[in-house]
Amino acid sequence: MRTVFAVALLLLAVFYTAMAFADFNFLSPRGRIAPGFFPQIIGSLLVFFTLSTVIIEFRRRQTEPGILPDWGVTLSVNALVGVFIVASHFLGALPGMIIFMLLTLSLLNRGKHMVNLLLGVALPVLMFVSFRFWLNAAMPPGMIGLPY
Amino acid sequence: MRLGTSLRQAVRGAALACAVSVAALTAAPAMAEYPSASERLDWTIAFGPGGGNDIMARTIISILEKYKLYPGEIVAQNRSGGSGAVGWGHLFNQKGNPYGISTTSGSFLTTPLKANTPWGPSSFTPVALLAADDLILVVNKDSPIKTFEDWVESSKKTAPALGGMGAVNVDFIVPTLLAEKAGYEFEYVAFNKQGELTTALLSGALDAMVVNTGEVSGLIEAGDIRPIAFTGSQTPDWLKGVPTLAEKGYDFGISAPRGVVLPPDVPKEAQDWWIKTMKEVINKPEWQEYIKKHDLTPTVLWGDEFTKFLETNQETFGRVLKAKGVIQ
Amino acid sequence: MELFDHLLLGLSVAITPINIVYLLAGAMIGMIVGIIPGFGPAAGLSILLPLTFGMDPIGAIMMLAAIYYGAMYGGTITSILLNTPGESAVVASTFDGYPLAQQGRAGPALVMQAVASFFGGTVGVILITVLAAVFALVTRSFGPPEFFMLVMMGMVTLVVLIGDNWRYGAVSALIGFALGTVGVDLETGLQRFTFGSAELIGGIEFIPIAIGLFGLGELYYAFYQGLHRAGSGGIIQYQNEKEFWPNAQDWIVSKLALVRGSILGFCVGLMPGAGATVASLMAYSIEKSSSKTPERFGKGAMEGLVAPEAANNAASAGAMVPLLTLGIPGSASTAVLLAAFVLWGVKPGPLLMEQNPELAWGLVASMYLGNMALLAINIFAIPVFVMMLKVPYRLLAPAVILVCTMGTFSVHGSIIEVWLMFAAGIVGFFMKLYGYSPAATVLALVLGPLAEETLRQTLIISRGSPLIFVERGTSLIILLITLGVVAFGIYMSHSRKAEKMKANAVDTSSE
Repeated sequence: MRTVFAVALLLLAVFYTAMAFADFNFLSPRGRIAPGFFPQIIGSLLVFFTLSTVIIEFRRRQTEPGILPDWGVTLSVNALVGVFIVASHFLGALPGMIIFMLLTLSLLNRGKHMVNLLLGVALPVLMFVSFRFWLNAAMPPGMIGLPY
Repeated sequence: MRLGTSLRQAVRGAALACAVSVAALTAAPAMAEYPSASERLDWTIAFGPGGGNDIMARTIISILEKYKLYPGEIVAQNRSGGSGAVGWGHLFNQKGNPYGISTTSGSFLTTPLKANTPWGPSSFTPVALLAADDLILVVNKDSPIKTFEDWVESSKKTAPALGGMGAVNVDFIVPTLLAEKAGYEFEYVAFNKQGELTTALLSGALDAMVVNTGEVSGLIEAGDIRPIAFTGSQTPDWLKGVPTLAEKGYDFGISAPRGVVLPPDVPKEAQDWWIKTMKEVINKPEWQEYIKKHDLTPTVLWGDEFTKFLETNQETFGRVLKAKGVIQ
Repeated sequence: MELFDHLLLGLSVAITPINIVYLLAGAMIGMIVGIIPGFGPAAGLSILLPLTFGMDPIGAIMMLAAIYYGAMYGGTITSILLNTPGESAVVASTFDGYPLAQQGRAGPALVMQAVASFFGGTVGVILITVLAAVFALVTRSFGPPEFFMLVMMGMVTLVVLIGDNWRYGAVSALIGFALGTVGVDLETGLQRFTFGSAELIGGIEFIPIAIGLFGLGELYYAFYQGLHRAGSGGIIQYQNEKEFWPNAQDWIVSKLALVRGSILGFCVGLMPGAGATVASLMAYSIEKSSSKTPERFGKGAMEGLVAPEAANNAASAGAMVPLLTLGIPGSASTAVLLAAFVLWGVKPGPLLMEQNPELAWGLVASMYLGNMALLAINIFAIPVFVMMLKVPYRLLAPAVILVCTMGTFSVHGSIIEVWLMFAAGIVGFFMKLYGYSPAATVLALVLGPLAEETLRQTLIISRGSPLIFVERGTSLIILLITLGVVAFGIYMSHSRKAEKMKANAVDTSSE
């Protein structure tokens, strides 16, 4: 995984640098710093350093030490955050928050249905009320016209 | 208001004709009673709270509410981001909805030029141009430049460094037109924040800057910076003695438009209703006070005249920016 | 004593029952708002500005100033408890604040944080009261060359921060710099890396990236370690929380850090723009390089939390100087205060203090009161925050995600920024897992664009000559100070090495 992450960063760095060299000038016709000056320097350094980390990771070739990692829950929560953002965008903030809380709690806090249901509804409603009426802050209104 | 009255008559005639034809074509029964008290008016403010656009929108809303000019509920939403691209993009997507509305500012002209937005200033249904946000050319109090003539003369000798906000902006275009016409060169230094621009002038790093009058009125009063010329059509009272560019023979008619627009393709009734209502708004003492407090120049154009104004301004903008290689 | 007359005038204006209510309300609201990730002082102020429209000017401005201060206090709380800075000025507070909390010393850390904020804030206000006019001169000497030098000073700190793990640190910082180049180029109007998106033309903001990298990244990391299965506590060892109050040792190590941080913070805060962030970073790196035991830093050194906290609060007071004496906003937050002044018909500028003495001195007086009120509120509220950590992680984590996501959205009402936060969360998790430095990334994101902007402005003004940096007095002074700080750091680390070697030599010889 370590190597995969390093390689992913390297690919992004190469992409960024290629764009910086293709699209922008290093210096302007009058010899001043042009829009490409910093991106090209940053990009080149980034490619150099990410390449060197990739090489190190390949050489290291050792298993990651430490605790038993819980990839399953980590990935599921990450996916649920994604679901949350999509739901908030389309349904609005309040339904999005409730869906997210109920799903996440049912994953993390297994079997305690009453607690989950209570928290999963009460917390979003509290958040919604304080953001909307007290802080007067923007929340995703939703695309399909639910009263948000 | 001379211009206003004659325009008003012209627009009214045109509006009547259009109203009749549109009514005949669509005969929308739903529009019979615009505005309906049960519909919420969604007021898009394309910038964050506390900015010029925000203050203007909230001033108009408070006048509408105080004098009960609008029957329903008005909800103001700050939809900032991308120099107005986000907010006005939101309004653009409300095609035909007479319950969306927004206030404009300088970026209304410049953002479409730099961001290739699907909309341009003339895509929207115009209501009115209410005021112009004009600029003032100022120098540090220690500068040897005292008058507009001094400025032109010294600029011809050595190209000055002149600061302004952003590159794709009125701040860049007006000095560029002036330099072209007066025949001198200058170095334009773009800034992101007004505070940094003003201190750069105070510190002596810049030779001059262009700025909205309201931003530096305190510094001008205290004598820390010296006004050289005003870009609007009429110098505000407290700046008496400062010449306008027009008086010196440089009339460009360019300014940041502070106006009101509706989404594209809004029924004629709604547009007419807003023109009628805004005419009432600008006659209220609160509006006059707002104009005075923020040093705006009352420049009033209604309906299609407003669109025409936007189009001419944007054309000039596009031409200058293309010539200078700022936009492709 | 004109000074006391002014202050008395200010106090007489500020101390009315209704104004005190506004002040307390503002401080409370500010603190709570500051705790919500995404709502820094600037966002909090601009959202709450409309609430004050109906009030009288002095009460309203006192309340807004209290919100500003309160948010500065509150912002640190999440830095310490959740490793999530809501603002670039409190990134430095995560370096040692979070390790302290992890070791079960959240209580003392929060108390010392409140004390440091109070100390910094109060030193700042005293300096404003006594020497505002003198400090205005400092602001007046600041142009693009000086800003560039100041940003360079902040960059030096990045190097201190990256430390031993330099290869990963460099990658982290460069990612931040690269993200900072996204958006419309200020000078030419050219779009860089925006892929045609209107939302990106304004650039990538600090909030979504910081909340993603720190907040979500930290949460995923905790899940990865399986903390949701633990009964209570979690990332933070609440079970180990032995005492709530800081011990004598904490006070001893923090004494000088408080003073140094406050004065440094105020001076850097005077400069419009970079202010609080650079100030807190510099305070941290000065503390670390002058310490006899720099290896404790980053592992829960109390002075490493106290110094940046004192600095960023002093800087927020310093930022009031350009506002009050010149009408120039020094930060996003003071820009909102400036808008409020204008809204109430006050013309900000050099004459403000003469023309509106009640307002100006009332504001200054309210800052004294506000700092005292906030210290008290904090001391009372801290047990509540520490209690929050007793909530089992499996219940706390979803709630934190809820607040982070909505907080990010509310800043600009932009769903794109929420997706940015989401992406930053994934990257942040891996960075944490593999030893990269998210702090270097977000600081580079803040400092990079400033460096580019000011360097290019400078070179246009000087017609391409770099000599301008040494020709202008203030710029030269900052350059010399930066070199001094670097030289001092190198000297200290050498002398420590030499001492250690000597000590080792003595050890071996005695054996």
